[in-house]
Amino acid sequence: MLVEAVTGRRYADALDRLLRGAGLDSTSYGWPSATRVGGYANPLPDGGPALLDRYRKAFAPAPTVTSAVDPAGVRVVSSDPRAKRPTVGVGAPSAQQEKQYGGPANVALQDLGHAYSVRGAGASAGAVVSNTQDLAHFWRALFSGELLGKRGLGLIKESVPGDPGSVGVRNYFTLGLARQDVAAGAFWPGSPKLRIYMKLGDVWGYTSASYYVEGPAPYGGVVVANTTNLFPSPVGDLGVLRGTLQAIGGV
Amino acid sequence: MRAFLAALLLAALVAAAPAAGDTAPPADELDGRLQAVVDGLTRDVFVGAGLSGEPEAFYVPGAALSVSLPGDATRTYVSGLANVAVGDIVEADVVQPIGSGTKPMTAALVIRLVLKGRLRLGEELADAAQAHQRDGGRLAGLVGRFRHRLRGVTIRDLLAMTSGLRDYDDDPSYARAFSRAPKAPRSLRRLAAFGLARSRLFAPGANGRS
Repeated sequence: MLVEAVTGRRYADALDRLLRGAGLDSTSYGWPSATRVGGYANPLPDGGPALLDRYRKAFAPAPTVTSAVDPAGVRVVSSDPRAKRPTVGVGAPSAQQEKQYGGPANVALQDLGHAYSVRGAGASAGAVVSNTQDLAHFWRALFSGELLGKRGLGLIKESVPGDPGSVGVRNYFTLGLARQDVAAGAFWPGSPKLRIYMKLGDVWGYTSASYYVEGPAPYGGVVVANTTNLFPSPVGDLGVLRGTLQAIGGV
Repeated sequence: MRAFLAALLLAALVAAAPAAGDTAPPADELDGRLQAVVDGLTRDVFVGAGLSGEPEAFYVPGAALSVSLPGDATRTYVSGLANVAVGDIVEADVVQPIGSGTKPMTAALVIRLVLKGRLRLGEELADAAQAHQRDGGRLAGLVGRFRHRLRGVTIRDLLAMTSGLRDYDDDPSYARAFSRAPKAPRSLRRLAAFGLARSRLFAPGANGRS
């Protein structure tokens, strides 16, 4: 609304100009024309808090699809709220979890993707539709200074402390992003000290995660973008950033 | 079926790949490792707290990963299904909502206005709304309605999550409205009003909390 008040342009138009100027050809405000991409969730549980009940009713007409799965492995996402933001909260299962969740299962997923208006639900805080190629392009343009110049980049990096992090991790908010300072050895055994600018996103049926990494070679200057079509899902990016940096470092 | 589909997908990709030799260099080692990262998302089961707070099993249908190394072209890797019902696979150019990945884009718009000298990060939203009314006074009207809630809230606070204002989407009246009409378009002003209608979580300028 602030952008509209200052420029006289609708937010959607101002955003469109920014995205086209940055060369993001596949990115739009709200869904583009017809698409068959599903946005999935475990069927919302019955009962529970009134708020959840509201959403369950809202999504009652959304179709459910069942498929037989046979997972390759079991990964456990930490329930510690301090492990929410980083990707450090994913680990190996206990023998009991391995037994309970490993192996074939019939899985029901509800396709919420087209049961709500993404613009009506997300607006300027969450209604952009994009892909990882465009997200990586945007983050590269931002951190190269191409998008906002060096001064604008300095402003968007301005930081204030955020929630307490897990061991070895400090959380910050910047002017539009989140930042994590990760101590040496805190990301994986032997990992270097890293500063990670990031933004996790989620909306019914979908998640996204974007990162810019500062640190020694070969990690410094790396841009990573990731999407999934499952939400609600466990917190964080399910270990993607860690796995990606380990792959780059040959760890 | 997921493993079955993955095998099927792999077979389809192998079949579709150009013959080795002239044009297609063999995927290098890094490509293989990054492909394994995104495959892990769709082939493993993740156990974590669901909406009820109890542990649930989560199976990710489809995922994409792009990696840009300094001075190198962006590499993109995909895995799994974009549409489970009809069996569409994820492809590199497939789009989907990115949720709060939108916010850095909105922040970039605001910072451009700051760079042009049309806004100051330290100015209060209420003052900016008074000074700028090219939206026909919509923002000024909203600010006037919630003047007490926005006292002391600067543009910097809004960008840095330090305003103390509540999210609109964990609000019971928003959930009621959403439940009645999930497909209804809602204006920026209506969404903002849901969050502004309730008390602040903390005083503006405190440490950020999402």
